[in-house]
Amino acid sequence: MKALSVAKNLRHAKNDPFGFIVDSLIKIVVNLIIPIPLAGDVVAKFKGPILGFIASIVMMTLMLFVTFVAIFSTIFLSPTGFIKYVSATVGENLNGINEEFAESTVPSQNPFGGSGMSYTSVTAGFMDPAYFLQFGKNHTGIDIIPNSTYYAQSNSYKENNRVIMNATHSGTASTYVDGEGGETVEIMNDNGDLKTKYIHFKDILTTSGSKVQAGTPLGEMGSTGFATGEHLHYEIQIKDSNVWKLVNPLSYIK
Amino acid sequence: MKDIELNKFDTNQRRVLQIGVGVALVLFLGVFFLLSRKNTPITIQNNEIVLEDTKLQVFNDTYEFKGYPDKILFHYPYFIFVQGNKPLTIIYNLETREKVKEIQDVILDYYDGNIVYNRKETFYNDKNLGEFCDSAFIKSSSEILCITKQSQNYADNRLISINPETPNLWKRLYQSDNILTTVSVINDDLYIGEINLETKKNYLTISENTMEIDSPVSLIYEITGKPYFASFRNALNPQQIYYSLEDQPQRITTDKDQIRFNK
Repeated sequence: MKALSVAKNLRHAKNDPFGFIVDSLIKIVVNLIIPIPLAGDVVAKFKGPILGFIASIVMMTLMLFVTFVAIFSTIFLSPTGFIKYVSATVGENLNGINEEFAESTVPSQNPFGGSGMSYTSVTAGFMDPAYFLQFGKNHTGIDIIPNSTYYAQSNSYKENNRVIMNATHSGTASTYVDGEGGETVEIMNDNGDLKTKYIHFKDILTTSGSKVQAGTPLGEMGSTGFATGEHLHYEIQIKDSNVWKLVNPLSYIK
Repeated sequence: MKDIELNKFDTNQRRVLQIGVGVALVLFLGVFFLLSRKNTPITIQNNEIVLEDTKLQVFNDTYEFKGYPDKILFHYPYFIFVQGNKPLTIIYNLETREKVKEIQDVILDYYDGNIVYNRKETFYNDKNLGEFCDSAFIKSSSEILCITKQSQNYADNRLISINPETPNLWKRLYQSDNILTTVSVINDDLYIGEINLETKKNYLTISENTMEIDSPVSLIYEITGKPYFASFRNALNPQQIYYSLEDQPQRITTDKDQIRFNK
């Protein structure tokens, strides 16, 4: 029976190629449209023609809605990383300390991990002239994003499929939203004379008052607040004669 | 449940339906094509590199450029577009009008296959220059010009020259009370953009002669061997403009918010 059908189609295609193509298109359209009246037909059979008609309309609206939501959510959610986030939540484990970090009371590693700055690209340096030119204000930390080495080598990324930033030294965390809407984590060392600030999180994984150590996951990189895209603004301040002073974070990284 | 069957048509009815569907398809495609054409903006000639508003046209490629963290760099014959958020650097050759290379990193300069980029310090290919450069220019394989901090924790910066083979023996080339925004060498002349943090006044230094100018110097570049500088739109400059530097800085007047990077 199947062989007969194939032979018939081939004969049709040979004798009437234009007709074969148009017929095929019609079949595709019909097969796609049929589920909608079919639903209406089933309802009509048991509940009458009016409810059947309504069921057809509801089914059509539902299918159109699902189609458009699928199309537009992909367009809008992909850049935000939401889709990636949903798929990445399966099997993640963010409770442990990142083993790429050595316990330290000073911020000697960058928040992405790895040695030195091997995992990062710097998009704006400390007191960067280009940043001043763009925004008319001084850049008080460094802006960093993960580079191709991070994506290839970071165990944290391989396990979680998310760009997680980690505490760079031991201390006590506080979380807040900065004056420009940036989700922020601040860590004060135990002596109370050095603090690190991490800004623009999409998702914060620690809470105010938590004790952290170097390698404790703090949150996922994002673009909240004054940001033109996903990155980490990383800042270090030290207390000098009872006054907090900004310092270049790169000078701490070994 | 009874199988659903398509209506039975005789040959003539079938042909009418086929032609009808065909005509509908052609009409749809025709209207779609006309609408697509109508919505397509007039394209800039594909041998040009132009920034108009936020649209950056580089030969046949189009990008959006809104400033930081993206950067436009220029080292003739290379036009370099850095997309900071990705990070991705795209390099074009102005002479061959081709995309030369894509590098998945933020770079400070590119010339003939050599790159300058930042880690904890700045690197020339695999050689650590021992300083962190805010911007850099490859003058030659033995001389990298680097705008770097005078002190780690302050905004003041200076221009130094580093030989990648002997980075510790760097030489100071220029220093001022202003911050230095960009550096370039064109026809053996050294060009430096400057801005005063307090007064917000802008300066251009050409071979140690400093002059005050109207707009901040975002990029110094050359078109057919002649120097130009561009002021991108930013907090200190509401309109993007460019200047010829052949004699005195001369603003190039355009009807549009436009900067041209080649002839």
